[in-house]
Amino acid sequence: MVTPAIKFTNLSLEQRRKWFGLFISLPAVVTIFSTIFYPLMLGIVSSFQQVRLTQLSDTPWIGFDNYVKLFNDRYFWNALKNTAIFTTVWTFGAALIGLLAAVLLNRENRSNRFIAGMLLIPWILPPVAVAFIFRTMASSRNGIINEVLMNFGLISKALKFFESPDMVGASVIGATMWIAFPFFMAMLLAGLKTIPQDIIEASTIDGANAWQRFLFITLPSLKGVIVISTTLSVVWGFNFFDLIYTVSKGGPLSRSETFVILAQRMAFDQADVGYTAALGVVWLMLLLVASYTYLRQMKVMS
Amino acid sequence: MVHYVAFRKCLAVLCGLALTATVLWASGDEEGGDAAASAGKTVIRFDSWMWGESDFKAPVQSVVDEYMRLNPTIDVRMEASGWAETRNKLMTRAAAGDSVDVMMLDSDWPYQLGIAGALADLNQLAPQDYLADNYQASLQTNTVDGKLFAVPNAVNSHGWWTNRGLLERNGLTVPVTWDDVYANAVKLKENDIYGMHNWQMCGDNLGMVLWSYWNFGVFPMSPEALANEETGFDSPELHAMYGFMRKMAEIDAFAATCGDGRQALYFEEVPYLTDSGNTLPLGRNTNPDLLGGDKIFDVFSVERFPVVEAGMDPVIPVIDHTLAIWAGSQVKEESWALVQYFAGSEYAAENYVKMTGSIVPPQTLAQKRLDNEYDNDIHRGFLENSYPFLQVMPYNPNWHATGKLIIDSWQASVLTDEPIEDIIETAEKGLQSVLF
Repeated sequence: MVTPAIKFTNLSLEQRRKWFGLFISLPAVVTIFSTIFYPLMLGIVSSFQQVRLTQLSDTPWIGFDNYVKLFNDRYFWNALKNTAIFTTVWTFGAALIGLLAAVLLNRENRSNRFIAGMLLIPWILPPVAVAFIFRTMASSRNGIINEVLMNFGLISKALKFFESPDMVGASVIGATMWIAFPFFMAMLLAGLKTIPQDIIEASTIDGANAWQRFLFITLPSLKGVIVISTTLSVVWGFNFFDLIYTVSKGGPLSRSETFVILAQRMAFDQADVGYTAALGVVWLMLLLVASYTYLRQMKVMS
Repeated sequence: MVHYVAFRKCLAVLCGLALTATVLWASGDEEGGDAAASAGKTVIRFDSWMWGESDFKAPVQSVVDEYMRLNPTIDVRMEASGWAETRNKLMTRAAAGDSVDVMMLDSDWPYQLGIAGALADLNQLAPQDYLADNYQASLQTNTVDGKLFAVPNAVNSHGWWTNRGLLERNGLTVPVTWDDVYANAVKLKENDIYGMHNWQMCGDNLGMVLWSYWNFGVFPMSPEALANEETGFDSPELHAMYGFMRKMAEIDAFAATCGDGRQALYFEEVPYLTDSGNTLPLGRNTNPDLLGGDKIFDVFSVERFPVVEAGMDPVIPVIDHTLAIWAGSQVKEESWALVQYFAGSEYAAENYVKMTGSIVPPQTLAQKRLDNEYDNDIHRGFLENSYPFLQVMPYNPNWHATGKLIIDSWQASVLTDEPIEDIIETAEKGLQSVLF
């Protein structure tokens, strides 16, 4: 018995629409599956295997060994601590500076537009270029920051911004905030433009001062933008690689080693792909939990 | 009906795109290779990070061009990425079962690629007289289980670069022992000059600092120690070494740099630097007023490394720029001929190795140059004060993991106030857990 072929022209309009919809979404589904879900699944599977970068043909199943190794590794806990501190401080620091800049530049005029454009430069520049600029400026050998501080008599000998274990964390945070604040400024400036002027004017007539207007009108109106931009910044901060790798490679003494720097070191220097995959899975879980908790908290607050 | 027409149009566009992509993919990369093949030439792909660096591109290209002129049936295709990216790139390509025919390698890369099965055994390709004339410690460093994975294209192991004039101006002499280094550092500090430099203030490349351990009598991960299931790390000599480093740090004697410490030498901020011959061209270019042209030979010499007691011989780890051949290459013999020309011909010695400041690997060729090119305190210093004391680098599969722990302990001894005993104990525990 021969099964008659189903012809597209024999289908009802409803069925045609359904098949057509499926067909046109196919490229997107294939792309998303092959570039996101397949690597994700491969990463999760690899985290249960012994995978060496140099021996990808031999990957025995080792259960939770990579996770045991990970949780017993002091470099993992060090990276977790650094990632959490760096991301939190630079996100909220950059958000505060961005908010301040946005409020100051909110008035529409030519000079404000020019200043806003100039302030966007750190965000537009590639992070590697910014890293080189910062490294040169902060160098303990003839770096301009040290020269200026010494000329003003604020220090007697050069500070080792990226070379001292006590200073490297703060230096990395400072450099990252410099890159990140224009992003917040741009987002919040756009948010400020959406606040109806009549509400501001009405509150002024009712006797609200500038601080009260900011606290009770501006800030609540910006909450959506703040939530989105800080969430994006936290995710971005967890994955921020270029600058740290260029200025310190995570050193000295791993004081600036974050998850992404540790992952690079373990995957390429030590060729331990299994460990790196386990790190990636833990990292993903942490990000999911942090994002969910944060978004939920903001929803509750609203 | 509208949907049906749209569906057919979509289908046609997608098919067209797929067809175009297929045609482009099929015709893209191999076009040059096909052209060379049709001209009857053998194509050799050669990855050299030096070819990607502006300072060294011309000399590398010059040797390749000359080789192709002498061998008209050979077409050498150059590839390059930066030094830092090359290792990862080659490791990843090896993992994917693909690489180039000839590759320029550094430090432990031949070991890592070799144990991964990515490199050909050069014992099967190289003439024995060529190997016999080479630096044996270099060859042994690149030999694993009897397989020779790379040969040096320039002997690049470190020497103790010394600015004698700077020492003399401060009333000092070249240090023989570590105590002399400390005494000099105290005196130099009075004139705001650093007493020492260490490459790994930030990084974690053990190969770059192993010399300091060895010349304090500490041999971490030596084959003898590993055979006895010992790390070779925690020892009275190590406590003495870290005590010395702490003492130096307390007088702020280390030229601080996470980046390129050569600058400190070139601008007379420190009297010594451990480095290869590459400092010769780099120093000339960086500070031409002081080091340009032949002036550099009046400023620097290469001296013996400091040791614990006068009369002891120094011990110097092998770190060479090497050439290797991919195990999957279809043109291994042709590739070897190129490697031998690049690493051992008069033309390469004159036009490439000379420009890098390094020593040419065949020892007879190096001896021939002693009366002219190498007749100065730098090259003679390398040949007489450093290279007679070369020792095989003790690479192992956990080299990078253990290197990180060791360098961290070194950094802790100079950058923190943590008790030396605690630093060593932490590192020793880490080493044991990684190694055994």
